[in-house]
Amino acid sequence: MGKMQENDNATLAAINRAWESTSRIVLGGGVCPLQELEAYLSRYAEPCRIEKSALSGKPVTVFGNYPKGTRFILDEEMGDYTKMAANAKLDINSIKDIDSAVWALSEVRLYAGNIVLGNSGFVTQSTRVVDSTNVFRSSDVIYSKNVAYTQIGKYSESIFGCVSAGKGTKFSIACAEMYETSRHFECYYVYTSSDIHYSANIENCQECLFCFNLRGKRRCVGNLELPKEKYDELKAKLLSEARELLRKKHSVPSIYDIIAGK
Amino acid sequence: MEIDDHFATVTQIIFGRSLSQLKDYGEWLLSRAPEGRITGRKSAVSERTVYIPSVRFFLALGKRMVKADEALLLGQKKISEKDADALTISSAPGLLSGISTTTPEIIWGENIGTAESCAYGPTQYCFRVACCWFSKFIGYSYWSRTSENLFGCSLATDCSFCIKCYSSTKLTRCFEVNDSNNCADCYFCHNCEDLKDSMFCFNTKGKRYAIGNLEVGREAYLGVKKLVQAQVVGELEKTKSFRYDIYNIGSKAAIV
Repeated sequence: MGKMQENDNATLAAINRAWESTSRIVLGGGVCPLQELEAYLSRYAEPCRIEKSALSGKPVTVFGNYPKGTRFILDEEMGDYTKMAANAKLDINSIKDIDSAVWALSEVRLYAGNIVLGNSGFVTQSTRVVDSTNVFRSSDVIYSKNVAYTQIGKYSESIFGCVSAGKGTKFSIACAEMYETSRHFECYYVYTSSDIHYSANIENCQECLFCFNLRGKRRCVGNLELPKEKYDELKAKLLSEARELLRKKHSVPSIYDIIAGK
Repeated sequence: MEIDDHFATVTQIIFGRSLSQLKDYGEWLLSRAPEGRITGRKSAVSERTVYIPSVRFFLALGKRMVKADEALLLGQKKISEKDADALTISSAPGLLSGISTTTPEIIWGENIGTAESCAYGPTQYCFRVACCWFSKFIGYSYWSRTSENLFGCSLATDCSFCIKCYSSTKLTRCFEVNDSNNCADCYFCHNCEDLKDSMFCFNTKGKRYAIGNLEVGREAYLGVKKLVQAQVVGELEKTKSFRYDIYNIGSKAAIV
């Protein structure tokens, strides 16, 4: 087994462990292996693309609107690239404009994929990852750990299928636009809150289900405040339904479907 | 507009000649930052315009969008206890239809002079930006943080005086740079770190006066820089666009 394959297996094992504990914390129980939910968790992130390395033919994960014909290399192939670029003969006098520069520099114009910087480890099929650990199929991940199918995660932990996860986002499944929040599922725009499910535009709230445009509330269902026992009973019922759908259909209606009335 | 003056300053710094009327260059600036394209839609509850960026998860909000202040008023509505008891995931869309609006206009902290934007704060004099945090004088950009004087950029953190730079940190006075860190006065560079006064560099670190990863010396560099600046600004003045960018300059299509 190659070193790269070993690293990929270790990343997947670590990510699956994190997924199991996150699903228990957020959904109240385990559901199914993470990879079975790939289509569901990738719905709102702009996807990474897999290209072939121009040097080795190995798969390269890239993100960005590169046109056809672009040549890529793996970040780990920089040694070979540097030698190749150093041997390229550049005649500075031949550069009269950008068109001539593009011709003269054809050997150095290779784009890097799988960009992993700083003190990062166990990163697989991801790019633009800085100082992060256990990252799978994600891009633009900075100072984070246990991240899968996510685009833009900063100072975050255990986030799956998220977009724009800001500082302090922890234990999050299928959410977008968060900041200083913990334990949430199917949410859009949740700031400084915790234990939020199927809600949108929430700030400074705890324990909310199906809530919209709320500030500073606790234990609400449909914006209606409920006693603890009643809230816990409804939450248990809804989370059980979500787990069942994820197990059987590998998907659930999204917060956007609820808003759109689908 | 205040932002026009800043665009003129930044273009003067980068191209050696100032360009006026930022709006005329909007399409070109957004060509590689399409998420920053802001469109206006009518609020679901009034005639007012709701601004929304071209980001998948914002667009998925559909037609039930309202202004930020309208959303807070609607947040006072709630469902009945009977409806709460009847809630399931499948019955939710119907039972929640009276309260399930939301807003793409996330306005955080204190903002001065920011217009036609969504998801921002604290900011000063930004125009047509989405997901713009702790920044000032930003135009036609997506996801910038702790930055100033950026135009046509996306995912830029701690950057200043840049045009069309992407997924980068700590860039100063750069044009068409992506996936890079800590560079100044660079043009058309990809995956670079600690570069100063360089152009057409790819996957390299710690160079000055470099062209195509090769250090050529100050005089030679400045000679080529002058030619490149003249070509870019000339074409921009004429067509309000420029055919090369950091994404297409390396493709076979660019050299046909």
